[in-house]
Amino acid sequence: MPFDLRSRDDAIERHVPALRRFARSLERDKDRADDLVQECLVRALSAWPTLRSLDRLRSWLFSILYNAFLMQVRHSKREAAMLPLESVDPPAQASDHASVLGASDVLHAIGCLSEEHQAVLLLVSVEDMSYAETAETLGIPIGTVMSRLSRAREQLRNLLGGQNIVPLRRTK
Amino acid sequence: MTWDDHPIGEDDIQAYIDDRLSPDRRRQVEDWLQQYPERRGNVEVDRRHRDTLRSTLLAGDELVPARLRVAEVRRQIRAARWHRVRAAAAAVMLVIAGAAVGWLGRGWLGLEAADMADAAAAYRVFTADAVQPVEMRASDRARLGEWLSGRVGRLLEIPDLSSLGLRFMGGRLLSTADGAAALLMYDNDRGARLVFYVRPVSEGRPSGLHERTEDGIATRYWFDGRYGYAIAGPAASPLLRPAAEAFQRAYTAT
Repeated sequence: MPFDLRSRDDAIERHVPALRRFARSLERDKDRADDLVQECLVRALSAWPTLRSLDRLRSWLFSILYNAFLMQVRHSKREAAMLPLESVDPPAQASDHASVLGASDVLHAIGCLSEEHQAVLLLVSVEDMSYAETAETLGIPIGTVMSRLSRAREQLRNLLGGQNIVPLRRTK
Repeated sequence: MTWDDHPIGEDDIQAYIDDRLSPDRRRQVEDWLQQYPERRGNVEVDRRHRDTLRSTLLAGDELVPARLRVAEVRRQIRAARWHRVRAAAAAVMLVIAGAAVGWLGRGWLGLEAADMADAAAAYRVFTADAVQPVEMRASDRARLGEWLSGRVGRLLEIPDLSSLGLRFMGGRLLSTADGAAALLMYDNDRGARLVFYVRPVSEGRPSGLHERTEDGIATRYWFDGRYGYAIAGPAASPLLRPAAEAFQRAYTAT
């Protein structure tokens, strides 16, 4: 292997802060988010030979984390199926749109989006992934990335209030 | 203007918000937005959301916790792998112990026709086990009884010996040349243990109650045709005789 363990560890570790950020946005709870990152690292180390190229390391790591997250969601949804549904509170609508948008408002609103929309928005807006890399990470076509991005932003607008803004009329 | 042959699309708007357009295309999108103030308003709001999201999430100056160090994760993987190897090894040892008991029993039976020596062997192996003397604990009594009865092919009574100060600990399945055998274990407050052992037997055995002692272990045993029953424990224990009687009552009644 042209790549020794030490530099492999370093290469992976450079992405840990970003992986935690992504996990933290997907999972509200800090400890559970770190559990998710840990799970991702375990899988990555075990599956290292399946990484085709180091250039793909970032999207590979993010896709492992995202898939681990989806599996958890599916699992907990099965468990939750026995429990009464809890309603998710939408964030309080801002009465004055000119007021400064609180950081917690945006985070709360993000949490109201579906996992798919959250993931696209975070990878593009926060992690600065190209649309192509986002598509590869999530295993979807670029066209789907674009439409999810558009839809995610529209939902954020609706959730965070846009009284002085006329809602987007979708043309298609 | 060239956007007639390459009209502005939703992807252009998103890329504009993300600041990923070429300067030319960017100008075209800006021109287009000038004509649609509603759209422009939305784009401005989207950009504000994007900035807030970035400044909120990218601001963290948090340190990576030790458990997310790659070297640490690697250590956890090694520990988990080692744990699995040990668990597998322990399972293999149990099978070997069970086979040894069965084999020893068979050997003795061959030499000394019918003395249920495997009961004493099982007593020796399993009562000395500090980690897992029984396979299934007494707390699971109903399941244990059902399981062992099913495997041995005979309804297994688990008599209450509390009048002798003996508590039922649990039981395990063992193998003999003639089929599955079951072991039930009891102990008292002073740590003394007794086992009841039942196994299928292949041929006609002497009737009545028999007793033999070897290396300080006493076995009281009897047969009822298809099965042999034995109580094994320390030869000096005064509990052995009453326990054997209780079992005889339980097993002749059924």
